[in-house]
Amino acid sequence: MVNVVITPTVANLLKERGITEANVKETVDYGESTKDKAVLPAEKLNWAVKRIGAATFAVQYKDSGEVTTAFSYKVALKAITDFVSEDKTDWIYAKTNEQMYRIRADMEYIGVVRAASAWGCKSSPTAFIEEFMAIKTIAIAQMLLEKKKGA
Amino acid sequence: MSAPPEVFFPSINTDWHGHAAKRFAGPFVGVPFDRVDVDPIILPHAAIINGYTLKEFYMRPKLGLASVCWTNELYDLLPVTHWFYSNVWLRELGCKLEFKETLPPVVTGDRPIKNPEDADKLHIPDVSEIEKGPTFSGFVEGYDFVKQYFPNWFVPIHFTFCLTAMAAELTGVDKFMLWTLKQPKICHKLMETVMETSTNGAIALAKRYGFAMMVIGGVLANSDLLQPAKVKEFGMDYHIKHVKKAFKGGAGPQLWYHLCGNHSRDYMIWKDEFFSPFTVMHIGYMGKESFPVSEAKKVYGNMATIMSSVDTKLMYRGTPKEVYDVSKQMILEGKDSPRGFVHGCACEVPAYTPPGNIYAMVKAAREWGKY
Amino acid sequence: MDRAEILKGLADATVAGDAETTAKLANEALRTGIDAYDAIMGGCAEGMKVVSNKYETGEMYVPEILLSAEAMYAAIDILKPHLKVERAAAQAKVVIGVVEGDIHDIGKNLVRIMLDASGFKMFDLGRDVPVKDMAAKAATEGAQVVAISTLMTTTMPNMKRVVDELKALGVKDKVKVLIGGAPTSEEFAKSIGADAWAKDATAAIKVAEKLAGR
Repeated sequence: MVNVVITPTVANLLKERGITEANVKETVDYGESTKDKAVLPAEKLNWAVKRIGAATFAVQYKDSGEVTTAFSYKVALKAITDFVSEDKTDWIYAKTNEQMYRIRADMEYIGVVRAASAWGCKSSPTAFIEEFMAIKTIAIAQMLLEKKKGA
Repeated sequence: MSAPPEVFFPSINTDWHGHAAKRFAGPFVGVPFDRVDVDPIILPHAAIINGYTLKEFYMRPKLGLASVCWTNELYDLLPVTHWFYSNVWLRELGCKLEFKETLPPVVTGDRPIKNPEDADKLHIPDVSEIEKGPTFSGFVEGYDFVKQYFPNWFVPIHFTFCLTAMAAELTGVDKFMLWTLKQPKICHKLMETVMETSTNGAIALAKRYGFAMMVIGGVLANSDLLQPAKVKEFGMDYHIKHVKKAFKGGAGPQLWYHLCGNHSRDYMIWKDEFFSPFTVMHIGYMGKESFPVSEAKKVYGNMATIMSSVDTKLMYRGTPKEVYDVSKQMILEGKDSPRGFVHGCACEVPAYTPPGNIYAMVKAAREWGKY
Repeated sequence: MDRAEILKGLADATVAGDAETTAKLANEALRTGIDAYDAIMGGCAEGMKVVSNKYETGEMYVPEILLSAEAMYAAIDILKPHLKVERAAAQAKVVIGVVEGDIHDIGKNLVRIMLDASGFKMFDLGRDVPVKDMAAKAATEGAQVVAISTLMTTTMPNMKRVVDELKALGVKDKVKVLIGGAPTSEEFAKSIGADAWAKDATAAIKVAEKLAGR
C-alpha cells in the first residue's frame, strides 16, 4: 500500500475544500487495492476516485504517496453513456493499461440527471472528472441546482 | 428597481419574472414547470417593436438589454438577456466594425491578414488587454446595467459565435475557405488565435461576474459550406479546446451550442462536443427545412436540453396560424425530451418579425406544452 | 495532344482545382488552334458543371469550388484575349451583387463563378450595392439579367427597390430580375415583381439561362 504524505500546502487546500485526511486515505487505498485508478507514468502520478457518503472524492498523488491535489463533488456517477475515442488524454487506466479518452457521463444530484464530459475508457467503471470541472463548473452547477430546486 | 431615466421602460413585473424564472429553470433541474418555455432569440426585434432601431440596439447596450427584458415580459418568454453580435473580439485583433441600420455589427475595410505571412504578426490579447478593449467595455456597460437594474435577470453571457467565421473574418471568408485547402496551417493559426482570444474574453467576463454562460455557434462551419471533416477540423475541435480553457478560467457552467444554418451532413459529429451539466443543443436546419425535433431528441435528448427551430423565414413572412401550427407540432414532439426542451427559432428571430407570429409560438406553448 | 484530350484535360484539371495544368492546357489549346470560346465552354465550363453537380450531391463544398474556380480563371485569363469579338458580343450579360445593406457574399460569389463558367458576361458589383447603382449598371450595360442576393430579412425590401428602380429607368421589360439567398423564396420573388428565384448556385445557372433566352 501507499503511505499517504500530505504537505502543509496540500493540508491547507484540503481544509479549504472541506476534505479530511481520512477521505484522502480511503480514496487512495481504494485506487491502490482495486487498480481502478488512472496513472500518468511520465510524471509518476496517480488519480484515484471514490464515492464516500454523499460526495465523490478525487485524489492525485505521486507514486511516493505525496498528494498533489484533492477535490470533491456531490454529483454522483449514474452511467457512462458515450465514448469520444478521438479526444485522448495521457492518463492511462491502470487496470487495463488503456489510454483514456473523453467520455460523457450521466451525473445525478438531488434527483436531477445531467450529462457532463470526463475522462475514462470502456473498461473503466469510473468517470475521471477533471479538477477544473469539479471545482468550478460542477460546483456552480450544484449550487444552481440547489437554488433552483428550492426556488 | 426601475431602469434609469435614459432607458424609457417601466419596471418589470416581479410576479411575472418569478414565474418565468421557475419555468426557465425547469428543463435544467429535471422538474418541468407549468409549460414549455419559448425563446425565439430576441435581439434587435426588441428595440424595433419599442420604437428604436437595429443600430441603436447594438450601439446602446443598456437600451438593447432593457428592451430585451421588457419585450420578454411582453411576449411571456424565457427571461434571458440576450444581447450579442457575431463579430466579437475581432476589433482586438485588428478588424474594424461598422454599425449599420440593416445588420448586426459587421467587419469592414481592410482585413488584418492579407497574405499567409501576416498570420505570424497576430497578437493574442491576454485577459488584461481584453479588459481594456472596446468589446469588453460594451458587454460590461450592458451587464453592469442589468446587474444593477434587473438583478433577477442577471446572466452574463459570453457569445463565442462561430470561431470558424471569426477566423475567416480576419482574412475574408472566400480566402479563408480556399486556404482550408491551400494553406491549412495558416487557417489553424487563425483558428488558434481567435480561439485563444475568445477564451480570454470568456475568462475576463467570468472574472468580473463570477461566471459566464457560453454561447457557441457553428455558423460558417455548416453543411452548405464545408465538408463534415472540415467542420470538425476547423470548427468543433476548437470549440472543445475553447470550452475547456474557458471553464478552467471560471466561465460556464451553462453551454449553449447554436448550430446555425444547415447541418444535414454534420449534425452527428457535434455529439463529440464538450458537455457541462447545463448544456443546450440547438440545431437550425436540415437542408432547407427546420431541423426535425424528433431527430434532435433522438440524438441529443439524453445529453442536453434541446431547442426547436421554427424557420426564421416563416417567422418573418408567415402568418400567425402557420407559426402556431408548426409550433404545436414541434412542442408535441419535443416537450418530453429527457433532459428538457425549449421552443425556439432556427436563429435570431428576424428584426421585423410581425409580433403576432411570436405570440403564436407562445400561444402554442400555452395550449400544447403544458406539463 | 489532340483537341479532345485538351478539352478533357481542361475539364478534369478544373474539377481537380489544378491551376497549373489548366493554364498549361489553355496555352496548348491556343497553340493547336482550338477556338478560345470552345476551350472555355468545352473544357473549363464542362469541368465546372461536374463541380456544380458534386456540390449538389455533397461531394464538393465551397473550398473545393473556389479551388476549381481558381483553376478555371487561370485558363480563362489566358483564353479571354483570344475570344473572337462576335463571340464576346453574343454573351448574355448579368449584373450581380449583394443588395444594399447586406454584406454576406459567399452565395453571390458562388453564383458569379457558376454563371461565369456557363458563358455569361458577368458584372460583379460586390456587396452592399446601392439600389440605384445596381439598376443603373444593368441599364448602361444592356444586361439581360440582374442577379441580387441577400442573407438578411432586413434587406429583403431593398430587392423590391431594385425592381422599382429598373421600372423607373424604363428598362424593366428588357432586364429580368433573379433573386436568391437564405430568407428569400419563390413566393417572395413574385411578391416583389422579380422574374425568378433560385434556391442555390446550381439552380441559378438554369434559371439565368432561361431568363436570358438561351
